[in-house]
Amino acid sequence: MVKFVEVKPEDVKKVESKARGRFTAPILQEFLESGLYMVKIDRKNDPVLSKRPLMSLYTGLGQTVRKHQMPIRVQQVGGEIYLSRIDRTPDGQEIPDWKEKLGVKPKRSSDIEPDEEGAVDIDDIGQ
Amino acid sequence: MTSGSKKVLIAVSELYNPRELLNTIRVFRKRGLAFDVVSGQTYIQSEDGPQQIRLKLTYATLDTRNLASRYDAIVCISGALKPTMHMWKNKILADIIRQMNEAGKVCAGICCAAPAVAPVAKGKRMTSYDMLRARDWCEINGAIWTGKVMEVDGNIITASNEQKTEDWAEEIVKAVQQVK
Repeated sequence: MVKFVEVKPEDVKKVESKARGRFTAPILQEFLESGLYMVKIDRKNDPVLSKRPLMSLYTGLGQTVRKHQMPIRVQQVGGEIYLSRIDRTPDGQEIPDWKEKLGVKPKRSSDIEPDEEGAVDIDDIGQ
Repeated sequence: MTSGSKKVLIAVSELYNPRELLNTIRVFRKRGLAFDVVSGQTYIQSEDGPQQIRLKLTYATLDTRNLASRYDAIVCISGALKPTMHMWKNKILADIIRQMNEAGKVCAGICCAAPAVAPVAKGKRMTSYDMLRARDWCEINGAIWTGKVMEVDGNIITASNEQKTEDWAEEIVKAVQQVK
């Protein structure tokens, strides 16, 4: 049996609400849309990010990048988090095979994009 | 040593393990064993690289009637975990394995693909990649999961990991030669 202790509403300490749900995806999406090559995240002046521990933010960003296979490198240097593009050079030239360089592996059969020219016929395997 | 007119059906994960698939094919070619490869889709990709292989058969295009009269073994080859686990519950593959087993043909599997043959291994010893889900699936289907590197129990030939591919493939060749 649960015991209930009566309290007054004003006695309950008000806790500032934290950001709920995914907050890393919009940051990365905004970075991709900005067109910039490399940026530093200004955590101090952001009401949500300033309350997040550095490592929580860093690992959260990294997980979102890997999950959504985003062309972004997340770095943590000297207590700051930097984002940079890996699908283009600093001069703006596109790197078409960035996924291969990153080593992004498909996980589901639906991730396979048929490569009609590069594919080898099964009859030519192991000859 | 060749295997005459014997033919094997290889069922492979869409994201295949290149060491398992290529080494098995090499052994089969070396021993003169003919084979067809089937998967869920025409283009299959290496689980750790961009290399793709174009297949002639998919589960949808394979004529599954009287398979046992055309093939002497069904060989399941693994790859990335998710598509390989789909092989365990693939109804077409399960029907192929059932037909082959009823005809006394060889049913083989390696690594994470080995549990695909579990439904026909009731009361028989088998092994697979040491993973709780694989072990459970084998035991639910009544197989005796031993966890050894390789198990040969009648027509069920299973191996637990890719390092044993060549030996496993040689064992399949031997067993296929004895199939009437």
